Amino acid sequence: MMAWPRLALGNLRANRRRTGVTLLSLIVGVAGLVFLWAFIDGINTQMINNMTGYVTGDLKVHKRGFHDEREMNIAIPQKWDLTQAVAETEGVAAAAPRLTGYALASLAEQSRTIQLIGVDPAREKAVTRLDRSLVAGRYLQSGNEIVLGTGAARALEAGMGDELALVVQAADGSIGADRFTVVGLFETGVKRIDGRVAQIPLEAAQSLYAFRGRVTEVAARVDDPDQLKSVIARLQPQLQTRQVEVLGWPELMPSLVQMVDFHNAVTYIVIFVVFVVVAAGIVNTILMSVMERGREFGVMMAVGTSGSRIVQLVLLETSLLALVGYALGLALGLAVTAYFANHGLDFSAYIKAMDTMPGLSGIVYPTTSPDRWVIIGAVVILVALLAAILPAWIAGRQTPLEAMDAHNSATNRLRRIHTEVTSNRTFVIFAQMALRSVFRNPRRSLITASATAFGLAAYLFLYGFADGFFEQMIRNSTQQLSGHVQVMAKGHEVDLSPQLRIDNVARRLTTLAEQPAVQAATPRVVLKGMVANSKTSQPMELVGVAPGQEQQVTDLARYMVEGQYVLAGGDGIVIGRKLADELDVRLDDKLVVTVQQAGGDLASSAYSIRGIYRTGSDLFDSEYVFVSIAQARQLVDFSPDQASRIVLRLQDRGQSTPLAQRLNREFAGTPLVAQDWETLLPIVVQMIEMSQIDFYLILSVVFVVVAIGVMNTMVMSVMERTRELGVMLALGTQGQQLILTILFEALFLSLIGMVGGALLGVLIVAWLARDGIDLSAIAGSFETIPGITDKVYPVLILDHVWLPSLLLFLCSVLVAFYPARRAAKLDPVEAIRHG
Amino acid sequence: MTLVNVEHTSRVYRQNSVAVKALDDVSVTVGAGEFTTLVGPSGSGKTTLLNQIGALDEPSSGRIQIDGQEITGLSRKKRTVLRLWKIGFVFQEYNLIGVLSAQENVEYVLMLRGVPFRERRQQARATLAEVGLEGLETRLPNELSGGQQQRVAVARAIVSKPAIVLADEPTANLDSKTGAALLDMMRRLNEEHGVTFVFSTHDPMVMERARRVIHLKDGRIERDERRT
Repeated sequence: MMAWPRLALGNLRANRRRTGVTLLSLIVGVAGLVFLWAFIDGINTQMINNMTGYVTGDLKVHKRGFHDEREMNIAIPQKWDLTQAVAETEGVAAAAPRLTGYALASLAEQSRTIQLIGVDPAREKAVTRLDRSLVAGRYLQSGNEIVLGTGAARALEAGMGDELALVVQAADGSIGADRFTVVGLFETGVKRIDGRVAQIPLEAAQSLYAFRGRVTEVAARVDDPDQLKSVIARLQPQLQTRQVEVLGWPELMPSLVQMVDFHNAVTYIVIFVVFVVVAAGIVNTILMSVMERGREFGVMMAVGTSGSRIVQLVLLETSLLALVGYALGLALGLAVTAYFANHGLDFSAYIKAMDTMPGLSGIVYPTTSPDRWVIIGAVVILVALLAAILPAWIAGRQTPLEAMDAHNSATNRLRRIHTEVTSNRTFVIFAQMALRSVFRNPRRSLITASATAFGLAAYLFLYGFADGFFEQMIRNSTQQLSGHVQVMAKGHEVDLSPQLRIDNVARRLTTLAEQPAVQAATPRVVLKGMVANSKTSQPMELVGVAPGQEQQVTDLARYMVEGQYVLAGGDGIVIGRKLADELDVRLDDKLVVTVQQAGGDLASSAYSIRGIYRTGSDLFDSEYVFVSIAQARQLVDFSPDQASRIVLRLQDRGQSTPLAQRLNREFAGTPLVAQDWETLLPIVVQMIEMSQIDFYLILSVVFVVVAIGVMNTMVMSVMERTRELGVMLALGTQGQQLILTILFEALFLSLIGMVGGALLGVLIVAWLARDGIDLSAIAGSFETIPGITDKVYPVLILDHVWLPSLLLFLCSVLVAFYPARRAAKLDPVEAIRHG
Repeated sequence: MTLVNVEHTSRVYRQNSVAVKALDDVSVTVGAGEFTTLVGPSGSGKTTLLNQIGALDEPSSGRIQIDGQEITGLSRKKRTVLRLWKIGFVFQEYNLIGVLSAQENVEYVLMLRGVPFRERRQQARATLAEVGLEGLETRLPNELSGGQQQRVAVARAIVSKPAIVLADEPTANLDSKTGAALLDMMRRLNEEHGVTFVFSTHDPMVMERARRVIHLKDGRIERDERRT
């Protein structure tokens, strides 16, 4: 038995180039998969780590009912000393008490709603790490101090030492207010945290919220995040007597789970396609390397080797190759991953808005785990063995002579037809020879062209999927709220201050509606504020609309699930389903809306809920509250000819940017500015950009796999024809002429593959576009993504695919340079003797 | 007129750090119109000498002139050009270009020389007719018998009217009848058109037809035999 492994090893050693080429395709495939998966895992881990590490902690202990009711008074008495009990539990690294609420922070004429967390500074440092992200000042000590993010500080125009006025709804229903000195500014790189979170000492928070001796939660960090569930299981019974609930971050931040789910759903499709492309590349290489050996198998059979022995030998060789390829590929993939895990992949220069995603900054740190390696290894080795077994089995069933002269007659017929077709003088002789060489081994050419075709088709499908996804997102988002272009006072895009308003609205509406591309225009009053009932309050954006005009621009009215849309001159309020659930309110319940007026005074008004809408996007459904524009004007003290914004709908969305640019030229010297939907919907643009990162990486993997496939074929082709190339050199053919012939051959192969791939890709996209791709089975929900439903309809946008396709084509031609140069440098004597 | 002038040429190969002398101080000349055979046992240096004359290989020492041109020390590119314009080759295993038909194989060298299409096609057809392959012009190599393939190889070697045709064991893969016919044809080309042939061979049939037989042994010329 030992003879067979020796023979297998001997064969691999004897054909070093073939072994090398096969190993290369395995190594690159495995390394590409390991890295790509690590990159995707890195994004998810980073989202989770940043959100839990800076603000939430790994778990929280609340008084039972707090999480569902969001009622501040469902609180934990400090005398229970839960913090100590939690901290002493096995698996918990540290615990800290907190009081979490919302506040309206003001400085001079600027105001902003923030998430305010009262913390025990000494204990909090052990649970979260905002203290390590300070870019100015120091962390909290005691008294009326506040640390806030640089984003919030910019919006409030606040600096170190400034005194912010904080206004809150206290636990006893009164309005709490106090002044806090800015002692530190932090910058995590996560826009949501830097722009919305602030911390004050726990005692000061208890005083502000009238919350003496109580906290809303105890937050904790665990030793091992993978053991979160078991730590929670240990804590639950331990604290049972205290009527508390222990919640891990997935329950605390379902939107983060959904975002991770969403990213997973999209990337699983991507990973699957990349897996298939890599597998096709490996199949291509192994099929060819086994098929090339017909003569060798024939000789072996002629000396008495049985067919099954040949299959065993090939499987043994392939197993050795696959194992070595996998090990080296894994090592390479891990090395690349380790490098970027330390240094980070910095996309911040390209992706401006990436930091609007929860927990993400512009730098991605890939992370990988053994379960990924096992899956990749199993798939790669299985694919390699399957690819090898078929041609070996076919060879094993042939007679020795058949094996030595396999497929000659069929090939001859094809070549004869081809020779007759191409045998005329208008063909450049080397191109002609190259084209015929493609037909010399049609099966091999077909396999290579198929690998190229498959790579391109996979890429077209993925791009079609992404474009369809974003097209839907853009269409829904612009139809629900943003419109195509908005006109506003300069600065209103970053600060919804009531001072920033448009005068002479009626006249401006008429002028704007007369612009050639504009289909409809509507005025709005847009304000930041708080909405509250007797139990709790939430930050929100109040939108005052003129229903008649509004419905020509956006179609939120179509999303009403209860009650009615805003009525012109009516006095109700329309809120989203998510907000209604968070506030635990129903139709006709009363809500109090508080906003800051232009003069800096706070104004409140109570409205009954007239309607509830549901767009399917949690972000949207919890954030936007609609009233009639007349009510909004009254609340914020605007005259009937004033508004915050004018929203335009265009006949063609593609005209948004040119129109915004034209309007901005016209507005030069006035306080007005026009913004297109891309500027208005940064999260949409950011998601498109984020997916582009994935696509750059996928494209590189596809490039490498396809290029190696073509190079592999060309190397094999050159090896097979060494004698012939030697003769050509002996007859007086120059090296460059040989290079030209081989490059032509790669060009034809790639061309066939590209045409096939383009057709296949277009057909796949067209077929899937009919009924859409239903992602609901993969991802629990897409509710965190504005404008997205569970079904994606892929579309192919030529502008997005022609350049990568062309590059793929050029790349697969250029890789043939290596075998071509090798051919040109052959020694004719050696080539003819040993060819 | 001297076509080939080999002066004190040696060729040393290195095999596993052992120096092997394939040619050892060989001097020989070949005149125009000769029909010469290099004979000797395996390893005697026949093919090595042929490769030196054909500018396929460089001597370790000594000098070689072909048609008055010094070829020792020429660059790879210049040797390629010299082979194209001065030398025709016939190999033991036919070595036709698999994707080209018989006439295209013959045309190939003319194409490299830049001969216009119509002219080269005409010459190729005429040469194929000369070697008895009329009607088989469009066949691919693997659709021809061994003898027919070797005739195509001869046609390819002579079509551009080179100064000399070098044939390395041209009959080794042919049966005796086909081999004899091929040799007769080459002899006729030599006599009628004055084509200079230098063979390397073991084949007694070749030796019988040669007018000059150079015997090689251990890389040296043992005997130079001229016949009338």
